Amino acid sequence: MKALLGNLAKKIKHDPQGNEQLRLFISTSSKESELITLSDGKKYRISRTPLQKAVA
Amino acid sequence: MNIAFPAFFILILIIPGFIFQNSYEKVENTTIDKKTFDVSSSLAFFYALLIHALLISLLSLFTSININYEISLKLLTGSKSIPDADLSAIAANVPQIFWYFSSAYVFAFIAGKVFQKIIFTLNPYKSSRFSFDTPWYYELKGKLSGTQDAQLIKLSCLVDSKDSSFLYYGILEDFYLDSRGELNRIVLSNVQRRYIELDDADTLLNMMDSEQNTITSRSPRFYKIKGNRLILKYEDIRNINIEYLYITEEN
Repeated sequence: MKALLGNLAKKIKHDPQGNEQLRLFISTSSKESELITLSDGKKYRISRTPLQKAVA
Repeated sequence: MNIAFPAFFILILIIPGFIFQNSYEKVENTTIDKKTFDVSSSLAFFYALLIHALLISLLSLFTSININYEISLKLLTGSKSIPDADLSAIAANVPQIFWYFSSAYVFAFIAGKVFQKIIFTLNPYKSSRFSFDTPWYYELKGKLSGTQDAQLIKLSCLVDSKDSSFLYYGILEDFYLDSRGELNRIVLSNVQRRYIELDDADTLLNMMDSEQNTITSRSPRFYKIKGNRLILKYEDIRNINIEYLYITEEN
């Protein structure tokens, strides 16, 4: 069965640069969150706790 | 009449119940609600009864086709005195009988999927009142009430080998359940491995690149495993740490 994989996670996994940063993040237990930048310049914050979406 | 025919007739009558149950309980070719054979059979009988009652009601409402209960009972009880006229009536209606049962089987399958969708919609989480009795499914699909916004799952698996223990870190891609609903094996991607004996915080050498704001070096404890997917058998895993990760887009 397919495990949980959200749309944002798919974007990061399918981007070589994003995937590498994701791999480094999951090997680190000390960091609470990390900013991941994809090849196209889009930035995503990955966190171990739920993040609140920015309110304009 | 052949003594096996009543048994065969009962079987084709009950099959819609089994189809419904199978369709209702199956997700991605995996049965997620395990029941004992006696419970499963009883439920299949009950579902078949409901499906036939509904279809017969629809038939009598919208068509001129009527069910001959007398002949049906004779067939069910294996009566040896079925008149030739009844047998002729059955023979003359074979196409309708065929279409009735075909429709019942298709209806049972669709109804099972519809009910499954309804149950998942109204009871999305493991803690929901009518959730399926398969904890691993909810855990590894992220369907816990506290993890509804999670984007992916990181697993840390402690695996014993002959001389040492290894800790595997990776992103959970797939999982497989056995016939009892227990975890059978997991598939990880982006996997790294390290010896548990080297688990010393002082050796962790992660540093931040201030310009790119990304991690640029890695601990020497970790060994990247080449390959796209790593399969671990659950029986080889001593324990699993499940970590739900959350992602938001930054402006």
